Amino acid sequence: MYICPMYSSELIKGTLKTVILKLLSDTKKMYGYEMTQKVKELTDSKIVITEGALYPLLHQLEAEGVVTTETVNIGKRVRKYYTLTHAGNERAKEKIYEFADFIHTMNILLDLKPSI
Amino acid sequence: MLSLTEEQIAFIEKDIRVRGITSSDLSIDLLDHICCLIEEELDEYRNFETVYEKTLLLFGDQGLKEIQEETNRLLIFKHYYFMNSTMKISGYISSMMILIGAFFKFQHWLGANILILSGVFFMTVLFLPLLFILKFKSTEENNRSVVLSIIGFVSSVLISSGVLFRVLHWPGARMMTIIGCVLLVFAYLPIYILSVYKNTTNKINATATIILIIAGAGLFIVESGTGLSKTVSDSFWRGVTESNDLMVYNTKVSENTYQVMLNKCVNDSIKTENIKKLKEASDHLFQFTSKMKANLISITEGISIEKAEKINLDELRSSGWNNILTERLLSDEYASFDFTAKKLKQKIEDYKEFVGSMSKNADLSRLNTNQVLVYGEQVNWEKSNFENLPLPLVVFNLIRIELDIKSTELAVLNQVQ
Repeated sequence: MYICPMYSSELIKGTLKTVILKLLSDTKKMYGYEMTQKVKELTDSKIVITEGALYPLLHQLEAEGVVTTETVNIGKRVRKYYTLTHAGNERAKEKIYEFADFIHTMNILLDLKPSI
Repeated sequence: MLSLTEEQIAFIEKDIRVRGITSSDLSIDLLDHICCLIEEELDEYRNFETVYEKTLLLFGDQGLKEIQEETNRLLIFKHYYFMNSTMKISGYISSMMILIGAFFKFQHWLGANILILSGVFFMTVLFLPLLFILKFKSTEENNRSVVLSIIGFVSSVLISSGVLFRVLHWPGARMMTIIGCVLLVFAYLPIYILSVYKNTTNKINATATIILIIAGAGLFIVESGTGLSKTVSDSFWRGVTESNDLMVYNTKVSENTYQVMLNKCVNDSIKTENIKKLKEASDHLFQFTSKMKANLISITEGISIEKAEKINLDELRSSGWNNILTERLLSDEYASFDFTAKKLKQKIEDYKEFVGSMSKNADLSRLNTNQVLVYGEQVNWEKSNFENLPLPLVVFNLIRIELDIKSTELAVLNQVQ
């Protein structure tokens, strides 16, 4: 669902939630477009989040009580900001820890030389 | 970078709605997002329309609509977990209730019916619909599976409501069960077999399921068809109802005769006294049989005695075709039970003795408690009236005894000296 010129989709699948949670735990308040731009910038355009993956996920997280939203009038239109809830912060920590652990395991499994 | 004008924003908002974004919550997100994308591209050299069309290309042809569908799918998926656990819990609870209720019923403990009733109720209104919805969702691609789950749902609801109706003595119970079973065997099963034998995995499992469905449905149909054929049971019930009506009629006639006799003998205090005594003795016996009837109905049907007293005879039709009463009425184990056959016989004997003392010519043949010849065998009165008989027959015999009491009373009233 990401547009990712660099990586195959099965590799990327399932990481979007972790990425969004991490972004929100670093920058307290973000809107959708800002998230896509941030990821593009951080990964040097290696990973680009599409709207089709981002918004459904954000709405799901909101329904689960992981994020809350507030709408702010920006000029002539309305912008919706997403913030992590308390439970969301916990979830972000869990997800990031889980993923780090996963990478560590994959390192062992694939016998990757640690990059210097 | 230029900011969009109010008209342009309004245009985009309207356009994405036309393209399938009906959720206002999602439309706020997407409107802002698209505006950001456009503002990024917009400068003095490119006009709004060109940039907007180029931006939309990023989403693909049905892109916007797909975002909304994906959002809905994810939101439903969240409900899915809730529904799944509700389905499982309601399934466990209702099946436990039915099992425990069946055990209670077997033991003739109070609350059996309410347990079975709520078990079947939960199963019908909660477990089965949820099972159907979840199954329907998980098989949305396959037409056959959809048809299968619809038929499965309809037939299982019919069967379980049939059971529910039966317990409640509501009409149509038997028809529902039979239609449900027929649907299961002649519609569900063929489609199921077709789909299983195309897909070779799990054949043993499937064979077991098929056998279970046929056997289960067969048992249900046999069960709802047991008892007597409709014509036989209809004429039996006509007999029961007519005896009951006759008993009620005789009670009234006897009451009238009693009043008439009392008026006639105003000047004869001995005779008046005797008539009153006779009336009292027959009332005593009659009340005993009525109470006995109510008690037995209450035990078998698991309802309160007050309800059993007022029960319409027709309600007993579909129920109580088992022999649980034999033990209560005849076995020594229940000798302390207030309404055993032996106690009834003793009361009748006492009554006969009393009536005999009142009138030497009294005809007591209707209240005969001697042995009876049944299939060439001498059987005592208790056994011939109560052994191995289902509730409707026991009730019928008690009604007959009540009728005999009233007939005897009526005959003797005229002979009192």
